[in-house]
Parts: sequence; C-alpha cells; structure tokens
Amino acid sequence: MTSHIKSSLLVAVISAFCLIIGCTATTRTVSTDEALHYDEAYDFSDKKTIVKNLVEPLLATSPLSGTTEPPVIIIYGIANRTSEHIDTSGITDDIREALLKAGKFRFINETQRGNIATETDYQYNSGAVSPETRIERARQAGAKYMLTGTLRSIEKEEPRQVRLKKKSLRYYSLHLELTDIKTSLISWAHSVELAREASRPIIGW
Amino acid sequence: MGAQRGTCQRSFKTNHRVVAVSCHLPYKTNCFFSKDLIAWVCIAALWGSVVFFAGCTAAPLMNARKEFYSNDPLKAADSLSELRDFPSNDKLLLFMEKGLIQHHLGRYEESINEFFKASKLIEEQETISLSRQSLSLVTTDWITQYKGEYSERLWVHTYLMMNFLLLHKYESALVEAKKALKVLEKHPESLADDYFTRALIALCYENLGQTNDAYIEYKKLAGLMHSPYPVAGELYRLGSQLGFTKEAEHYKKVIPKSQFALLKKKPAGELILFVGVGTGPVKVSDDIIAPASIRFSFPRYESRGFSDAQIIVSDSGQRLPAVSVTTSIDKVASASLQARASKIVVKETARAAIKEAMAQAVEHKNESVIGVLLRAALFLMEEADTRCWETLPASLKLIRLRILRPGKHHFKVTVVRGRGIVEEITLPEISVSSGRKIYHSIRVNN
Repeated sequence: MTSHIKSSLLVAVISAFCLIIGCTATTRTVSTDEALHYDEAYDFSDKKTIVKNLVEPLLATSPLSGTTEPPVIIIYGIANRTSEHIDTSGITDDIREALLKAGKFRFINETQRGNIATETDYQYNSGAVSPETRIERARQAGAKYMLTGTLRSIEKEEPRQVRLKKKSLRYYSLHLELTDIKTSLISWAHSVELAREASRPIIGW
Repeated sequence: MGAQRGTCQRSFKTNHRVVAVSCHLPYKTNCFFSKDLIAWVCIAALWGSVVFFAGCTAAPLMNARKEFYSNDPLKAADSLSELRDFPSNDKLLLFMEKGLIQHHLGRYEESINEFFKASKLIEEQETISLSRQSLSLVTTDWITQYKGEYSERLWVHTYLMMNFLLLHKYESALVEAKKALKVLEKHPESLADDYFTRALIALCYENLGQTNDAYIEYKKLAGLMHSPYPVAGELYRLGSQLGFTKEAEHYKKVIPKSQFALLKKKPAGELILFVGVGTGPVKVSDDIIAPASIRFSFPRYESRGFSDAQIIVSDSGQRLPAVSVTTSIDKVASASLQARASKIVVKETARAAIKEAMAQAVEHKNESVIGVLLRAALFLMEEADTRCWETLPASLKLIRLRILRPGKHHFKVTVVRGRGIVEEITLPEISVSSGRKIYHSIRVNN
C-alpha cells in the first residue's frame, strides 16, 4: 500500500470517527445544586438562588419569625411581569416548603379550597360517611398574613454594529412582601436581584 | 465514441405559477470524469436543488391554504397535522399557518402551541447559516430557511396575545405584548402602521391594572394614527385616572358628544371583538431581464381582493356604538418587505455576478452548448423567494363595545362592504356582568 493511500485512509477514518462522535446522542444527570446556564434566560438555577435568598431573610429578619405562635399565612402568588413565560408557582411552592420546614410559619392551602369544599360537602350530604368520622365544619384557620410578590425583568441587547457575536443582558428582580390582612400594613418586604450577560454567534454553519 | 440523448421533463409550482421546463440533453461519453461530465453533474445538481426546494416544499401548505379559503378550515387543519419529513426550510410557514387555522377553529390552546413553535424558531434563526447562505448565492433563496418578514414575526405575537386574551390568561398575554413591543422597537418604521397590535398591547397592560403603561401605548398609537379618535376615549379615561388632567382634556375634545355621554356611564361589561377581514396579500415575483440572459427577480406583495369592510354590531336589533382600530395587513406587509429591499438588491446583484462568472467559465472551458444550457438552468433558477404567510386576513380590526345592561345578550355582527351586506354572524349567547371583558374572534373571508 502506498503512503498516499495510507494517509487517505487515515483521513477517512478520522473523519468518520468525528462524524459518528458528533452525531451521537448523549445524556447525563445534572446535580440540581450545580449552576447551569445555557443562555441569559431564567432557569432552575435562578429559581433556587431566588428562593434561597428570600427564605433566609424572611426567617431571620421578619418580625413574625420570633412569635411564639407560628402565624398563619396565605400565598397569593407571584405576578409575572417579565417578557418570558415563567411559571412562578414553582417559586412560591419552594418558599412555602422551606418555611414550613423551618416550623416558624403555617400556611393555608389556597389551591385546594375547592377540593376541601367538595370533600366536606360529600361527607355531610352524600349519606355515605358515618357521622362520627365527619370533619367538623367551620374550623378552618383564618390567614393573618398574605404573601405576595412580583417578578420583573429588564432586557438589553447590543445595538446594531458589525460583529460576530451578539451580546444580551438580562436583569431579574423578585420583590416579596408580607401584608397584615387586618391592618393592610406591609409587615416585611425583601428583593432579590439577578443579572446575566450572554453572547451568541451571529454566524453559524 | 458514441453520442447519447437524454430527455428531462419536470414541472414545479412556485406560488401559484406553474413553470414547465423541458430540455434535451446531448452529451458525450469519452472518459470518466471528463470536463463535460462534471459540467453536466453541476447542471443536474443545480437543477435538482431547484426542483427539490422550490417545487416540493410548499405542497401540503398549498393544499391547506386552498382548503382554508374554500371555507373548510377543519380539512385544512387535518392536512397539516402529523406531517412527517416536512422540509425544514418551510417549518416557520407551517407553524404560522397551523397556528392561524387552529385560532380560526377556536382551538386556542392548540394555536398557542403552534405559535410558540414559530416564536422559538424565529429566535433560533437569528444565527445566519453560512452553508445555506453560500449555496443560495449560486442557486436561489428558496434553499434557505424561511425567516418571515418583520411583520409576520410581529403577528406571531399578535395572534398569541389574542389567544391568551380569549382564554382570559392575562398574564401570559402581557408576556406576549412585551415580546411584540421588542419587535416593534426593532423595526419602528416598517411596522408603524400596525395599529391593531399596539392597541392589543395597550389592552394587555390595561387588563393587569398597569394603567400608566397602557396610557403610554395608547398615546403612542394616537401619535401614529391619522386621527387619535379611535383611542381618544381610552386616553381620556386612563389620563383622568392617572391625574393627567390637561392631556385628558385635550383628548376629550376629540370624542364626539354622544360617545362621551356613554363614556361617563359605568358599563356592565365590555365586548371586545377581533375581526379578521378578507384574504391577506401574497408575494409575487417581479423580473428584470438583462442582456446575456441575466435575470434579476425580486419579491413583491400583491393584494388579493378587498382589504376592508365595515363591521356593525347589534344587540337585539339595536346597533351598538363601537370604536375600532384597524391594521391593513397589505400595507404593513409591503412596508416590511420594502424595509428589506436594499438587502435583497445587494444579494440579487451578487448572485447575478457569481452566476455570470460561472457561465463564462464553463463557456470558456467547454463546448458552447453546455454553457448555453448552464445559462438556461441558472436563468430559470433565478426565482424570487415568494414564500409568505398566506392565511392572514387583509385587515385586522379590534372593536370595543361598552355594554350598559347586565345579563344575557344576543349579539349580531353584520359585515358591510360597499353598499351591500356581505355576511351576518350571530355570536353565541354572551353573559355580561361585573365589569367583565368578553373577547370574541371572528374571520370574514368573503
């Protein structure tokens, strides 16, 4: 075999190898504690950061955290005022979970109110439930505080110019506040900010 | 050395224009990899790419569009469902057409899914494909991915806003409003006449109590329109709420007295109609032939039939006072294409130069007959990219009606064009109460 043929074969094998490796689908398990960002948009790492940075001051600095009787709170959700479709219920669920685990607050299950009413009605009106096992009516806890928030974002893109990459900047802020339902006064408020810059190529193959 | 003759006959459809091509190919077979053979392979490859990309891509879309305009949107939706191996170049068109057809059928969730795909694809397409762009320089723009005109990219968000409002998902509608604003900011001049989208954006802000943002959008709209009359009522109402007394008084002067009296009354609710009227424009090819068979081909929007109609809404036989904001799709689409005109001309000129150089090189090295045939192939290949979103209406109207009486209503929509009634549509029974906004979308194709 001549050296010319040998080198041609080598090039062909390397090319085939590269092609096969490049086209192979791969999967890997990622730790949820690992900060992973593919672009500047909101992702699960951001959610974790936001929740952590809101729960810690709520437990440490909120005037309610030191009360002997854990206050009853209702969460009315976080309004999404960004330009992305973000499910903010994930943030409130995590905040609730972290606060419940700390044992300093109690929460009304607002999302299950309809189901609670249906079940109560069934126990009393279906005739299928024995009277001694029926739950007592009008014993639900009333919320003393309301937790609400707003997620906002500001986006900026590099102005038009000759370049190979396009940079964009995104800023998020989540403002959370605790309102005393009786007095309508805000008992506690806190904000978390995140900003990220990303660049993407303008020209691809 | 024997000579053989081959015959090739192909026909392909490019945007309603059937181009039939027939050619007889004389070729010599003297040795393997001869110059002639290479030249023929080049011609065949170029020709094949044209037939493949231009002829086959839009076939399912063309059928669906035909069915849609034959008042059979169900069949149109079926034609586009579960399409396997759909050409990636026309994926954006597929998502946009499917989204609009599903919207027309009242399947708003499905429509959202399609428009989401379109929106994601538009973001991905921001990266320019070097390979496709290079190949398009020697062939045709049809081999590149369709990226949508600026106006079409905006209307993806417009339809998403409409879908979310119809589903009363106000927060998601506002997200789309912000995305639409980004597109409007990127192309302010070419999209300036899209009053419908801007009115919809203001409405999205208004729904979530962001009065100041809504006021700003209405004010921008008033500045863009020939007369601020269609939004003067909203500007007066919101301006008064925000304490902008002077500005509110300014807009009050524009409102007719009868309408102002109505504005002062507290309504039981509001009916908001999204009306798509007529058949949207299509792109056609404009050709310029220069000596030595050099063809320049440019796309242009062409209107199809009527573009506007008067919409009258009545409740139990009584005509209701309404304010409407209208976008001429024809006008905005043409302005969008015009904004790209310089880029198209530059690319077209570069392509013509490259093709001419190719033809001259082949003529110089081979028999002149091959050069002539190559010229013919390149000439026919030079077809303007006339792909566009074809199920769009000719105009979009946002009609707002303040309903004073609470309870059940039977609204009738009458479409008037010229001096005659074109169509009468009876809306399903609508219950109006507690200041609620009720949304309804209709399409008048006739």
